[in-house]
Amino acid sequence: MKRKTFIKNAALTALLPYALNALTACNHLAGGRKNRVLVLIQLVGGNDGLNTLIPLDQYKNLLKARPNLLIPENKILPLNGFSNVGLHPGLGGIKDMFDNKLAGFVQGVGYENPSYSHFRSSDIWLTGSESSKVLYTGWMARYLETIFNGYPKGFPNAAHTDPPAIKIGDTGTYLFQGTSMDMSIVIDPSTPFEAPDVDTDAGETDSFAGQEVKSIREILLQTNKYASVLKKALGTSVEHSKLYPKEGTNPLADQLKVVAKLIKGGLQTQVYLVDLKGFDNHDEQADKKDPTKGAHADLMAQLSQGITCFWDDMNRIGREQDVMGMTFSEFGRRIMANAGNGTDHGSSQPLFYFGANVHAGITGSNPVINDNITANDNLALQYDYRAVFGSLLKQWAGASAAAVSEALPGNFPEIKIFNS
Amino acid sequence: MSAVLSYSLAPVSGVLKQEDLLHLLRRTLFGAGHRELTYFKNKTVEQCLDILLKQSPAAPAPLQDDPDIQDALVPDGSSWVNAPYENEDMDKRRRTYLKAWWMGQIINRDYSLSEKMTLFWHNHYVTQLEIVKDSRYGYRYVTMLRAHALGNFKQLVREGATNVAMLVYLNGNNNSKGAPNENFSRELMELFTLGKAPDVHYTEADVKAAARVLSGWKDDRESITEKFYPELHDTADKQFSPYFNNEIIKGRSGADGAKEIDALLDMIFKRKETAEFVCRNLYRWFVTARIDEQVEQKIIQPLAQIFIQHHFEIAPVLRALLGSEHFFDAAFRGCIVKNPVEFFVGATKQFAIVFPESTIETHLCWAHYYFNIGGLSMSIGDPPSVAGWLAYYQAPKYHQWWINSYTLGFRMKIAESLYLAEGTNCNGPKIKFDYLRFALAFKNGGDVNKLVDESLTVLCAVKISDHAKNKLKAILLKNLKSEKDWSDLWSKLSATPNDASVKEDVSNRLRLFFGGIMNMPEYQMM
Repeated sequence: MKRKTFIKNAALTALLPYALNALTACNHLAGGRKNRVLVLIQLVGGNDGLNTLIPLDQYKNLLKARPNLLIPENKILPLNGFSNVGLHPGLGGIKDMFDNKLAGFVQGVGYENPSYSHFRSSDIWLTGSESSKVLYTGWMARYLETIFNGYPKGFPNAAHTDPPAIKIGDTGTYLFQGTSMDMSIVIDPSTPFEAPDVDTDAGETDSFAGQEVKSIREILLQTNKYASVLKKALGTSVEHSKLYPKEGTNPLADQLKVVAKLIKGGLQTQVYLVDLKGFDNHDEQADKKDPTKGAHADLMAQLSQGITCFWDDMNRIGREQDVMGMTFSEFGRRIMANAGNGTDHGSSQPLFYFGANVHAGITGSNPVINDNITANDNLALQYDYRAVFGSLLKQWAGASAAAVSEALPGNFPEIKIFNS
Repeated sequence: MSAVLSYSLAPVSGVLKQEDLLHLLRRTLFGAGHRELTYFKNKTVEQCLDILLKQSPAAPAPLQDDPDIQDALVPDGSSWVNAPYENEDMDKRRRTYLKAWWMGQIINRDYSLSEKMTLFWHNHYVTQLEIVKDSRYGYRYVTMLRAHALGNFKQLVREGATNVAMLVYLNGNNNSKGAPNENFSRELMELFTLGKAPDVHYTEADVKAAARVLSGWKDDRESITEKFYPELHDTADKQFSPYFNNEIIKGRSGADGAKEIDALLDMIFKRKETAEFVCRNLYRWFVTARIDEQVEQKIIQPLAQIFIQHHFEIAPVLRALLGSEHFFDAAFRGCIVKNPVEFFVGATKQFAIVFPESTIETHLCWAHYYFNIGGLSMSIGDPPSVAGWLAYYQAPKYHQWWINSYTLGFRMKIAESLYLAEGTNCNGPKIKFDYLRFALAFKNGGDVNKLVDESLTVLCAVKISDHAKNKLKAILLKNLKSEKDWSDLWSKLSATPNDASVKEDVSNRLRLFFGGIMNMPEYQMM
């Protein structure tokens, strides 16, 4: 009854993807950093930063605000060289990376006038807008368009043979929504990639329906153009890390495994988006008797495990110098626990990143938790999320100031994230 | 760009032309073919709407009849909807069963809008059954949506506010005096009633005050009902912002505390934005995703007035919209991307597919539909979030969110599975698309050009290019010398109905021909 069974039952038709241009591929971002790969990990639902990166010097007041939620002091994982913060016990793999100078955090990331709506706030993070402004293209797409100028017209070409971005899952994302079309190819981990044949001849175009059909046809054509490079990459046999859990048990690990396969398979795409869902823990976020267990603990463990396996894969295939990852969520959560031992929507959150060439350590300071926290209190904003992403583009991709401001308009201070 | 000619809710009248009737049926039923056309033919638009707006009778509860499930508490042939909760393993099976059953209700839709509107409300008033994790609660949720699908919206919101599934899903059951949980109250305002249009200015404090109004409710696993606990209810007065005219909802104690919800809903429904928000969503569901200033002023605003005047009865709004000049404007033909249900069930209804007689086999078929439609990113029972599916709220792409490099490939795989010679394997049982029967319903099947044109008229809401049409025709004419050969073949079919080889030859041509139609980008539209 599974989808895979269905796929097996369905007849396969011969597909005729466009012939791959055999010229040398050099599908690079600015500055010739053609091997670099960025994997963004979206934590969907709003991650509780205070139980992820725990401010030890605020422990007493924090315990008062969330007595049955806060991780017991003796269970918090210490971080090498940083005595006043620790990690959720589920993040063992991330602690190891941090201690080995392969990871970093930025504290207190968000934006002014935060929205507490999942949907609006996700849109803000993905489109790179300010709180009150609505944008309809993704910040990453706007950056990619400075390289894949006029996409999709003329792409792929000799210099850019592979898709600008890959979204893992069954749905596209605002992050990669460009001016005229989605700049990503969507790949579902549980289903083989298919590129359907299509008649290139447009029917009616002078109507609302015709315009819609035109968009569908464009996606088909574009998918077909990338079919051979994708099939080649996906068809590569990879001996994955032994650390991966059984498929279907950790959705993030399953997704990152596909990313690892594509990287190993030689795909030149440099930007990926994966996600982990379920962070909206209004209720029973942690087990009252043992706060190291429960819904959020399971997610922390999945996050850590997913990244650990993926990182092991990158080392096995010798790409650890090229690849970096970063997490983000639409918001953090409230300081105070609610009656259900969960947390309501909050504002700022710590961002986590990893890779061999990242700026290891912690940027920003611990949030200050006073001793009379009420249900409405939120963490202070230290860094605008656009400062983080803009710095990432500059340091990781070597983006020019003009390209950064194309992607993320506004003036934001630079933060050290990547040792470019 | 062909312009919209009418921005008027003035009703059209009389018997609809075939193309108008097809438009109405495509948008309101999940797919329409000869069967629907025959049924609605020669009826006036008023009569059509009478039929469409008639609530379908309640369906029998899902039965435990899966031989693979050894359920000690529920014998085969009876239903688990009132049975005790057993364990997660068993409940997961029941939930899957429930969702396949729901798919079955959609597939078995009669000529009513009930199922289409049940799905609309599912997308609007969301619960995710895999988060609720109690099939009996899930059943009560689905039953609630279906009961009010064409009924009263305010009543639906009231029931949903304390529906057992909803209490679990949005933590209403953990919302008590001194420790409010604002999850439900926030979504109540943002997603279920007022929306987030620029003119909606409720405050964070309003969200919190509403949470206090809603405090004290819990679900009860034993009785499978909601219960109100006065001792958990916040009995203080609740002050709302100027957006709500500084209204104060008086705190009530004892059993009376349960009545505060009604005061809250009265206050929220007094704001016209609630009616406007729902009317915009209905418009996007039935007409087009685009709402410009003209549509807002001339269609949405009057519809909202109708909604308010009729005390939030849903049918009058739908009657006004679906019977209007604006709805039938030629500009909107085929401009909505089919959602996965409309795509897969739609094809099934177009060809009037008959399912196996045995209940068990039919259920396996429903499960096949449920899983594959889920594979196309529309898991019935589990929208991706409390906001529903992206296609209905994420501007400006809206319906285009259904389409990406992955889902298009998967849609075409499904189409292919529908024209296999041996039939479509649905987890064991097979269903067969009888393309010959479909083609024989046309009077002029012997004229290959007419067959192509008439088939496209019924099946495809968007005109295709001559080039594509010729390719389709070539499928029918493969290895034939002329169009006359096709006529001869067609004549032989009726002259010698027992000639198996002729029948097989024609059937094979038709199978690939209709498959070709289903694989066109234009077929994704309705």
